[in-house]
Amino acid sequence: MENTVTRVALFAAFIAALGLIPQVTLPIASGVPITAQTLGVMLAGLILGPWRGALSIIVFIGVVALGAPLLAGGRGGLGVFVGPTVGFLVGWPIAVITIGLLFRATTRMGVMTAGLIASLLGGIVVLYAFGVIGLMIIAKLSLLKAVLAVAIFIPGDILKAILASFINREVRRARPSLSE
Amino acid sequence: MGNVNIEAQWLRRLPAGLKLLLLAFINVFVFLIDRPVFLIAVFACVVILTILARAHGLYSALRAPGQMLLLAFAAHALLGDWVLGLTVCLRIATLVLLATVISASIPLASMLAVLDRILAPLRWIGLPTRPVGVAIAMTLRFAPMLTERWQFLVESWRARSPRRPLWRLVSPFIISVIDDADRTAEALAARGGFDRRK
Repeated sequence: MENTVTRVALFAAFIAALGLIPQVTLPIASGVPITAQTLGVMLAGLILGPWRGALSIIVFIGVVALGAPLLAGGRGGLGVFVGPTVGFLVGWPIAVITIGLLFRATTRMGVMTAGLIASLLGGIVVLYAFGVIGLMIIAKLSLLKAVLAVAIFIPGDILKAILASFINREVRRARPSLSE
Repeated sequence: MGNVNIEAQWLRRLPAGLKLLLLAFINVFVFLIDRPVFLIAVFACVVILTILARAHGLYSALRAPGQMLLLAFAAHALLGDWVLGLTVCLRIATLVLLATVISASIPLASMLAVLDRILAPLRWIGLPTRPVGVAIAMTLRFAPMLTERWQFLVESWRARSPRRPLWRLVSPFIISVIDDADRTAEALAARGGFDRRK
């Protein structure tokens, strides 16, 4: 129990700290900022597993809702829940659950491969599905335009998925107790 | 960072629960109306409130969603339906601005108190809510600690190598902070942890 709470808080704080890394907000991409936070989301799923990972995302989003300016670009407060990127926020916990479950299901293919499959499907396919639907509902954009608006982030996120599965392998090698 | 400060005392002194209820109410209201004239009126009220609240730091906090709104409006206008674009953009602008001002006017301690009240029903059915509060407090404490740990690793690297560190430090960084979290858990457990007998 104590273990769960501290690890969940640690990853929530990790995602928060990643948001403090200086970023570029691309105006051409509808103000969706490029963020290292996706890396934290992928790692939460890979290292903590689906349920603890999702809890850490929920705690992080809770802290943002309480007003801490921790989202990429220094956004925070309740304003982000009605803003155009809310779809990504809603998608985060679901992406993490997908990543955690997929990683568990494919671990026998090797930690690196499993991590990559899980991060790509959960952190990109599932997450972007939510992000695009969010843009369509909030900004009333058409499917094609919403997809175009976020497509520019996909190469960066593929890079983050590779990085996340590499880090996950290293961390699990150093602390085998995580795999129990 | 994009921290918004509210200077007006009267707004800061209003009870947090009341302000959040007002925000929730306006949230629903704005989605119920779709005549641009009414939306302009509501938006104007929120702008006046913002001016009266004497908010600082709004520009950096709202630049990104602002750009997005201009683009969404342009996209709708190009397709010919600029009224729809105006409606959508006014709605988002109103809500984002109001939510930002209201959450900036509520200190963290009051926000936590409201959260505690919202979670109360969970306690009635016997679920412990203390871990939630502890996790949130711990997240706020861990975040600056993580930045310090990263800086520490960067400095140790620089003392030994002329090359730039960056990604090579990520794995040792994560391993060391996971160890920290587990030690914190041991310390929590040693002090009684979440034992419900008080």
